[in-house]
Amino acid sequence: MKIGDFEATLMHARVGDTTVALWRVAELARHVDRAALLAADEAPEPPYWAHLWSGAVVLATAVPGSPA
Amino acid sequence: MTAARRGARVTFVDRVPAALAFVRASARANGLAAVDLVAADATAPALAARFDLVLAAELVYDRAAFPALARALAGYLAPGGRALLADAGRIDTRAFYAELDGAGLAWRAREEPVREEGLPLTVKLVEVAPRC
Repeated sequence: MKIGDFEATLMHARVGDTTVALWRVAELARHVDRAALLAADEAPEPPYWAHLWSGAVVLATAVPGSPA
Repeated sequence: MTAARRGARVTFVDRVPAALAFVRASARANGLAAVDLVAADATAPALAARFDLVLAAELVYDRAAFPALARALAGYLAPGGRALLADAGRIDTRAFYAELDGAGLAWRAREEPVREEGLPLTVKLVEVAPRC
């Protein structure tokens, strides 16, 4: 499946006692600019929002069990 | 998405429309019919709303934005509301917490040890609320 300009893959993340389905950018490494990586110290990376950040996982686990 | 799965009415905010497209697809995958999506910077006054709970992960990454972020957070909290922030310490964020103090917000943090790409990482989970 494609979402916008990105090939997407569906994953299921375990969060506490529940499982959350997440569409993510497929094969993040493909979005690294290899030419820039070889030419520069700081190459463009995949978009920040495509990562499943550790902080997001910790936060999801801490979400209250019912609406605040 | 976890909050929405648990019954909360959630407004998702990101400045990148592509990110919101993934949110929309993920919401459908979780059986959530409709979600509110707002394309905006978290520090911009794009939302004329206040929230009982603000959730933000890894949002504290730009020192120049610390004052605006603290002010925005104070503005988004409804009376009695609170925020939960996850700060993985990608940069030195101590000045941000001073900004929260200056914005009239009280905060307390606890540390959660995790592993990221096989390496240990401490994520600070911070609860923020208007100072009484």
